[in-house]
Amino acid sequence: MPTGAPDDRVLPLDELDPILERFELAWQSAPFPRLEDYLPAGDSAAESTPGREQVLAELIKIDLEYCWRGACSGQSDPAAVASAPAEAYSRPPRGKATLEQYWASFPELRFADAATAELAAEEYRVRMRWGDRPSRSEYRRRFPQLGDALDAALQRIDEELGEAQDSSAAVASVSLRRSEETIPLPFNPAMAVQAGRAPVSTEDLLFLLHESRLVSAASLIELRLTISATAQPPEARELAQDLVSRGWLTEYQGQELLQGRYRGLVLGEYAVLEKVGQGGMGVVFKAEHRRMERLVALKVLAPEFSTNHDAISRFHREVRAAAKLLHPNIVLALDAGQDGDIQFLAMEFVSGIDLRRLVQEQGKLPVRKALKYLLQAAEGLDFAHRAGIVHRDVKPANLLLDVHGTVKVADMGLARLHDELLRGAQAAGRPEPVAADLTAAGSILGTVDYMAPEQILNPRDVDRRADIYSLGCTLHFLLTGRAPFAGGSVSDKLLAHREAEPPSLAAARPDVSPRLDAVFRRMLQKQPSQRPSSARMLIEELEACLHEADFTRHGFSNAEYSGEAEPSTELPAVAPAAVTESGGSVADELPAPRRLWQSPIAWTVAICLVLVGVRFAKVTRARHAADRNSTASADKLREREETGANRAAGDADEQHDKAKPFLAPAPSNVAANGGTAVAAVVAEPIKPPPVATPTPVPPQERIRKWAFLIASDCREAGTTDEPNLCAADVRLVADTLIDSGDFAAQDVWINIERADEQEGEHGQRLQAELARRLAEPQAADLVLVFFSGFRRLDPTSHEWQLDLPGTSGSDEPSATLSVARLQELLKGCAAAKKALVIDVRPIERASPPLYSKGAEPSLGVAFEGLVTLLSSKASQASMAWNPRGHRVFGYYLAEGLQGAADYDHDGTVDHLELYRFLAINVSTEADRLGRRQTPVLLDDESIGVLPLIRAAAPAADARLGAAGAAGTQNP
Amino acid sequence: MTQEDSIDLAARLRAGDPLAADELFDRYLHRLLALARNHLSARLGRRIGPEDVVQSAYRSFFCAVREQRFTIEKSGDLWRLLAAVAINKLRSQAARHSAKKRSLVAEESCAAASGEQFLLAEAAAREPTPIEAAALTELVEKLMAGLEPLQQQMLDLRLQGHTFEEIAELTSRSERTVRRLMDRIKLELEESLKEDSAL
Repeated sequence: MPTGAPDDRVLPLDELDPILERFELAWQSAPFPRLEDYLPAGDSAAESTPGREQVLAELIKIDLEYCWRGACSGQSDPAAVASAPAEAYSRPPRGKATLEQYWASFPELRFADAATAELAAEEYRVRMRWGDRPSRSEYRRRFPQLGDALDAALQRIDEELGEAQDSSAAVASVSLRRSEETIPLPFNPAMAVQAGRAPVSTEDLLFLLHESRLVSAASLIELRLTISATAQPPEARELAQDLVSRGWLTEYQGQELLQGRYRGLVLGEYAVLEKVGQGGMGVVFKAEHRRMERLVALKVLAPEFSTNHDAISRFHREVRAAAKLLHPNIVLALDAGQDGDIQFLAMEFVSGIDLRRLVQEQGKLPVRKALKYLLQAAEGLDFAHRAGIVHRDVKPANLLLDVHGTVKVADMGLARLHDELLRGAQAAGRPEPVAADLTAAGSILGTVDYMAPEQILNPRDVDRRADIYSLGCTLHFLLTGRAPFAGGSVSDKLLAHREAEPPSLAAARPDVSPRLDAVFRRMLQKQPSQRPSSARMLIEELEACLHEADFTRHGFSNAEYSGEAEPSTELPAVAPAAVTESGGSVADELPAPRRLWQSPIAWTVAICLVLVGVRFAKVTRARHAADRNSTASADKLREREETGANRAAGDADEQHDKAKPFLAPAPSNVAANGGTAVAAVVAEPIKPPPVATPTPVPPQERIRKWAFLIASDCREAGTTDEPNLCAADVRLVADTLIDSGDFAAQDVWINIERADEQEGEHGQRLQAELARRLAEPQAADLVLVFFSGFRRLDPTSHEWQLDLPGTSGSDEPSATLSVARLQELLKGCAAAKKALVIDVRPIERASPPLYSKGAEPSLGVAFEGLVTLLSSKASQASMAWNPRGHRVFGYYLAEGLQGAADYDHDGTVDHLELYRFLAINVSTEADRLGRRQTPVLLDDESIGVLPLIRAAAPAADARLGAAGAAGTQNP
Repeated sequence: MTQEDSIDLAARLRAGDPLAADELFDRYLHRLLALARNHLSARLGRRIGPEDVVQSAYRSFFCAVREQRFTIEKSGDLWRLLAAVAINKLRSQAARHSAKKRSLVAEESCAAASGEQFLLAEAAAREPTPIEAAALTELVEKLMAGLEPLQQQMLDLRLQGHTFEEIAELTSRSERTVRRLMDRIKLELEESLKEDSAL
């Protein structure tokens, strides 16, 4: 018995977890992996390495479970006997392992008593659970030194196991009752119908029900007793109908049973509910996990594949790989199983429609919608590609649109399998069953429309660029209703994929922009090397098309948004006439704005939510751990972010018409605050889809709102191929506002600085433009001004100054804008409600200017994040930058405005709620560099800081008037 | 729960009846979860929005709450802990900002009972607030954010009331691994409860 000094050196979780994970996976692929392969290396037997005991203890605990479970299902060496003396054991421990075996294998390791007690308790647990149910006295004998503590631990385990037993007591009692002779059988064996023949009598049906396992024995007995109590037993058909109407059976189950079929209605843990489709590999059912009550799509492998053992094991491997793809745009593979000789795969059930049927039923999609569906599919594919999985069968029928508008890629990783199964079946030389023949032919016919040329030549050896080709063909289908080379025979199509020039999308759809057409044609290049090289690249190109579509659609000519126009033509120094024209034309279209809260409120204070810069805060342990596994986690973060951005790009087409108020009119209680200064951002949270028929807002109630969103260019000079994260911030908020349907796209102005602008140009331009817009006599009722990415000058002074850049090469800011000045401007604005939101980074006094063109290294600590961000460009291929690290503020601002900040559920978001929401989310979210940001709430008098937590009193004076409370900024 | 019931339970609690404490807290927790679901429905139901891993991981839980498919009883301890931590955090946050409140409430309560007991007494008097619901969901969110995807799935299943056995089966991992994660989470929560209570 090894004992000795406790080794309390512990391994951090982020090192321990992966070891254990590898060990488990090893167990699952081949039983009895060697424990020593997973231990941190030790120099010699005498010397213990940090964490070695700890890792071993955890490995043993897992190993024990697998050994005993295996032993109980008979896959182990039955010769091993638990009570044999320690010396008799050989290593590695096999079958019914006990701790002594492990001690024998690892004599150099010494466990403290506490650790030994834990291990003994664990051994006791698995043996109670799966093994020989040992007595507690055995443990007292084996571990005398542990004493009462061990006894107490074993007692606890008994109690835990007892509880678990109780919860399954209902099931257990049924089986107990069945073994008693006095209880009637669920069916009469003598009268049982022969399987496969249609049932006639009640007894027939009861037998089939019993065999199908759809209904528990207890329920069947009850059913039978009820029926036998009636004067005239119903016929099978009547009974089946009755059971269907009572919800015991589904229509499908009833029909199958009435035709004498009962096999396959329950597969493993799943009850098959209805048939939803027929795929290349077999039939797809909607099914339910019987215990979890989780709905799944069950893909049942055609029986002719089920005898091909190589194929089956490959099937399981592929499913394992696919099951690791956890992504909102991928249909999740949940489980692969076997029932008798029926192989099946359980997948997330997506309630919705596939894009092929969608187009067939609703016709060609609007460009914007098609783009957004394609973007989501590309997100899913990008995730899979980076996990090393190529889909190989991307087509509209494999893209599922769920009821929330999310597109999910189905059948990930299964296409190759399908090929191999078919080949396997052919190689086996068995006569091809007719059904398989048909489905196989059908699936090839269905797929060839979307198949990349290289895939036709060599189906086994394609990479992710084949998926991009197929996605291109899918785009063509979504926009035109037909695949690019549709029509003609299969060989015509195959030839066309290899030889024919891709058709022009723009020719078929005049509303397709040249840019989108160009992207489409690149996707359909014959040479993989000429296509976008990754789904990520494709996403960027498609997003650009999407933004372009937005602005073309709204008659907008903000070229920066689309990132295309010549600098010189872009927003020329604000010719008042031009602006009036754009503003005026909008005003003409809209009904005359009615100022709901205009007059009694003498003046409205702007809310200043100022995000003060970058603090270096200690990160949580878990977070830190994730950070250190850098690339993967960064990618993950990005993944979320990108998806979020995608989603946020929302569907203005649909939403806009609904005119659903987003920033809704102020409720009377806000207006009733009388003459005091109130600035509230009032929002109505968006209701969950599906949305009912849109109710148009009567014109007189429509409130005009506009937003002015300004981004600095946070990139280093000359790095314009980096993403401009501030611009991304601003776009995210813009999308949110537009998609809410309440801000007309024309009324959301975006002003993004370009790196190549002349000195001071941007700052001056935007000041002039902002001043002009705010001074417009026909200003909106609600105005939102959002700054992203500007530097805050001199954090020590009480005056907040934004540096409006354009000061390349010079230390002197040529254009500054104080928050006080901003407030002046807002005061002059006629709108009743105004919100000012600023996302800044502070400047440390000693640090060189952000836009310095000098050598990079000596940048101050405040810019460390940015520098790292930019210098990660070297490894651009992995896209290691983390947009959320920067965009966290804009992201949560958008979230909050959408209603997530509506804490009191009154359907509005006031500025305190919004502030609280930002304070919680922004300040707790560290980026991967561990930085956190702390939003603060400013009052209007001194731009002083209000405390973090305030009584949520609605009274105006509690909000902004209480400047006395200033200065207690919560760190 | 009627007013009388509450008062009665509160009285039993003061009299030191441990069952009353449990009952009271369970009721409170049920209402709190219903509130948390409302709070989240705005976020989860949003047509547009970040589909981040954390959200999707526990989205299913709140669906389960909505459809009343889950039972608190099975994993009651974890939910109770989560609620206690969330509420305690709010309380200590508020206490930091109100020295007065601290002297009035905190000392009295610290003297009277341990963290949860205090919460129970407090909860007996009123309905859970939306702020508490928000704090609870945020706590779950944060907890999830610190986990690997597979671990998130495990926690998600646990919060939905699945047993260790079921979770192990669904995630293809050993029960030991599931138990280890849950033990760790419980420990963290208990520590965090202690820290906040100490404030």
